[in-house]
Amino acid sequence: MNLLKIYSTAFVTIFFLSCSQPLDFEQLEEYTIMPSITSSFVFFSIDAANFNSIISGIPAVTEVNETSDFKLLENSFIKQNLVKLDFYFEIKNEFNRAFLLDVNLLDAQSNTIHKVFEGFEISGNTLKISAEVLLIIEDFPELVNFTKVQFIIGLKDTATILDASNLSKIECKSSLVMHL
Amino acid sequence: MRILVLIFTFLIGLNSFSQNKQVLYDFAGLPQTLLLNPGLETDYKFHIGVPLLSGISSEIKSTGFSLSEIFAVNNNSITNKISAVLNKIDADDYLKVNTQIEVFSAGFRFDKKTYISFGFYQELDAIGYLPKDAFTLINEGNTSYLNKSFSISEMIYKLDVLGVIHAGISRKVSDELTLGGRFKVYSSALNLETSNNSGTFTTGLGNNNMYIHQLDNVNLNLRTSGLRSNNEYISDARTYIENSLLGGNLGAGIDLGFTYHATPQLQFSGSLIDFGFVHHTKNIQNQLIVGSFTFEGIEFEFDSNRNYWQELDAALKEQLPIVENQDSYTSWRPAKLNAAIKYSFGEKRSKYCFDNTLKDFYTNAFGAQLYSVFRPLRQQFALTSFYEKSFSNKLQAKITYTIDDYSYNNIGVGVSAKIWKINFYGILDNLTKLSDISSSNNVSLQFGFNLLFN
Repeated sequence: MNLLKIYSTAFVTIFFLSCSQPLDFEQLEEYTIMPSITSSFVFFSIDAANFNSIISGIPAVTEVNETSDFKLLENSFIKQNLVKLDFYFEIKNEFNRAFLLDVNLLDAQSNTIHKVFEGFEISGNTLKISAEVLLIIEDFPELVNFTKVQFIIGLKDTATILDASNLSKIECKSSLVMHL
Repeated sequence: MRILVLIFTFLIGLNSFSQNKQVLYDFAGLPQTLLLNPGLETDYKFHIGVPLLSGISSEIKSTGFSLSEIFAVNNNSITNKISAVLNKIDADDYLKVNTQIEVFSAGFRFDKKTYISFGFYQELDAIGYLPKDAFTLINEGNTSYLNKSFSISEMIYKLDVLGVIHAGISRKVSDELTLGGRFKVYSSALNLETSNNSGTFTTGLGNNNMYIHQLDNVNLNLRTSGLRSNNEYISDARTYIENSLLGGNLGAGIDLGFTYHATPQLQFSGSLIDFGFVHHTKNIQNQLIVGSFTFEGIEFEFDSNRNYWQELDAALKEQLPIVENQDSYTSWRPAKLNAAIKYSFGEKRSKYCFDNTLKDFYTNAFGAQLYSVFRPLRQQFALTSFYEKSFSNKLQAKITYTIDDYSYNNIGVGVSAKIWKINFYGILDNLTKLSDISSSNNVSLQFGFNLLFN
């Protein structure tokens, strides 16, 4: 048995002579992923027909309104790690009339929690208006509850009728970047 | 008692090491070599492996990075280190874990030409290729990668936890040739796998909106067995152990091998190991995702009563449905091939064999071995050259030099000693990295105790 002990001890000695530089697996707790997620947002194309309801010569519709769920922030990981939201809009207005745009972020109960645009003017005959809105979550912590979006677009001059035969359009494209 | 303490210490340290069974292959006539080639020659009357200690091996291997690159203590932040590794790896890189514990093994000589061996071992075998595109998408998002197609096909992994009951026979059919075979019954406790996936995710500039997001030709098949029962995850370790003892999903396989002496000094040997399958029929939960989906944003019509999000959700579920099923499936074991050439030379000595005759052997041998294992993405190879020395008929050593996916300078050493009827063997691998194991992606240790009777 003595020889076996010697062999075993020699083997173990070699084993324990092996070294490893210090490793710290707890570093993983400090690891942060910082993805930047780009998503298409709302887009639309509206024409005079959207404003052509006329009652007794008075335009009954001077603004149009639409709301939709947008539930990406319901994802718990995104919600907990969101640092900033970056909205980007591109708008083309072929009408020779100015419009006003409101973009509201709503919570699940449809309460407005932030106005991205309030009365944002879209000048007439404009081929491209670009606008970027950067919202830091630290400054607007209520934004993590954003689950609905509302667009309201209306005539700036509500007294003048929009010609129903006008073939012009307003086109809007938008995107959203979530920085985690 | 001291030895037991040493063994216990070995066991504790085992998980930080990995294995290279090229050192064990055809080494010193050990009973465990019969699990690598059932056609290898033995010269004892019977053997009994010390329960749970006759054969223990473990490997944790990676290509593309080492632990120290991520976890070394330095001024670099963990985030930066992981980013650097993500930039370095590619989709061919992988992480592999394999652990085998021989619970029971024994063998006996049936007649002068025939040796029968049998036993039971438990094995964990896992390989996961590193899906670089998925890591990049999770880590950095899609903003900086417009028009890049993130591939889903890189997602390949396979994990098996199973018990193996085996019985084999080695028969000397002539003075030159020994043939062997082993039949195995697999009892799978857990299987998770996905392979042959396809599809891409791309964000590009859109026409109708700023961006267009496309999931194209997605075909993702995630198979599991043994993970869930009655819609609940199996969390009791005892259930997994019981399932590895013929209580799980069963399969069968064979090992085949031979040894051929072209001359008294020149020997060829080869084997095919784990050519088999497991048919999964119990506790199956599969997910299949097939289809394509395009998202350009939410198109407002204004003053409508549409529920855009619900429509989007319905379209996603229709065009890219996640189908869950309990369909049975077959999982192939990772078959391995061994081939070796060995030339013996030097002093000629004699030793007593099982039939009380003297058998001549040479004190030195050198040669080469080729090892290959079939893995989901591609076959992996290792080429080994070796030198084997018999200091006496009770003490042998082997030194190897191996080139494989992990290293071009892997030097291993093995020692086998027999005191009375007790045989001890130990193998260390990748000796050049022993000074800094954490920067190595392949270090291995194997050891075991047997009782050998002539």
